[in-house]
Amino acid sequence: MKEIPGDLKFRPSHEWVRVEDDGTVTVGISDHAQDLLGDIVFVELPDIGVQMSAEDEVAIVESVKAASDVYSPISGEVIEVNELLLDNPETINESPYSDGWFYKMQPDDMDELGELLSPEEYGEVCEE
Amino acid sequence: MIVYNLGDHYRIISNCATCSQNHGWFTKQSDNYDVNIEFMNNFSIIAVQGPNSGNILKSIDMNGLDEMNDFDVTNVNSMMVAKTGYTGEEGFEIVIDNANVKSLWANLIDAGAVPIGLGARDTLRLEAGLNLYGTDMDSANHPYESNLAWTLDFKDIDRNFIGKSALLKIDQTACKELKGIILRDKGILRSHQMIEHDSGGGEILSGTFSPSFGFSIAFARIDKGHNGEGKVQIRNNEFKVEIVSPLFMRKGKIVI
Repeated sequence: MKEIPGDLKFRPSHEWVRVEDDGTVTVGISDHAQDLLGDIVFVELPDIGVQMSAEDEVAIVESVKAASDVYSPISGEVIEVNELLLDNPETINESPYSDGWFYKMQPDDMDELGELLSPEEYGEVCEE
Repeated sequence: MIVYNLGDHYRIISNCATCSQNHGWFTKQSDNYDVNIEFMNNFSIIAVQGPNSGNILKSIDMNGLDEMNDFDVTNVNSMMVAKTGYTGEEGFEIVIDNANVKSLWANLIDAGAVPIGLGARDTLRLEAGLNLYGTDMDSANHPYESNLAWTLDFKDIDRNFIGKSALLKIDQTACKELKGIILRDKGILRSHQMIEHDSGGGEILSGTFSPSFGFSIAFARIDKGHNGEGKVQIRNNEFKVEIVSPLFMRKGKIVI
């Protein structure tokens, strides 16, 4: 398994969040999640401008095996989506923590990040 | 399930998950006949499938297979070898006693065979138009609505068989049919999605993303009278689908 970058926070349902220098956050799914899903063939991304609450269903990933919901790790407004994924969904398999990001958000409340898991805590969830 | 005629007896190779259901049915039916049903748990089966399967078997000294036609069965080195499989590819199924199966497996791997998982096998059998019991049909479905009419033979009017009178009562013009569905858009057909067409609709049975085609294919049980086009509902989106004969690939060649 790929090493989990130290600057990420996780939901137990395998989404990650990274706080960028400009105060926005980037969201994706973990290496463990893409590995469980297998070959990803389609992705449905949210509309730009949509307001999400933490735990809302925000995207859908379809792999050869199954369709899975992606949940928003925190609340905020969707400001950008990774359109590369629409034609190249395999990017999520190849680069889950970098090129395979899903969307960027302007968060409502940074304190919500405190409720997410550290890389170490998430790593323990994956081993259960 | 395939029934092999081995001369003085028959051998039934059943779906693993339905083995006790099938065994129970045969045992019950056998009460009325002078026949014994024996459950053989001392045998194992390995399916060697794919265009190179004959060469691999030849390289481990399993000879005499070149002349076999589909569904033929023969005996090679005390193993039952049948030209059957569940992949739609050229291939063989080998039944061997449990004591020797591990060494056969090792020999096959050494000869270049590669194990595949159940998911890959499931994609292959769907591409090949082969039904899966429990998903595509169960004991509540008849053969005419399951693309299995080819298994029925009424030519000899004096020949009776279990279910014959029930089959003769079915109105084949009114019943549903099992068809192939193609979705070229970005979505995946999966079990229980609803299909609509000009003259009715139905439900997706087996469905998957086909690596061979690069789009999704499925079986559906639908009303007759369509014009080859339909619509499927996937979550909040409606997609156009094509309704085709339920056979997508055969022996590595596209047939749609």
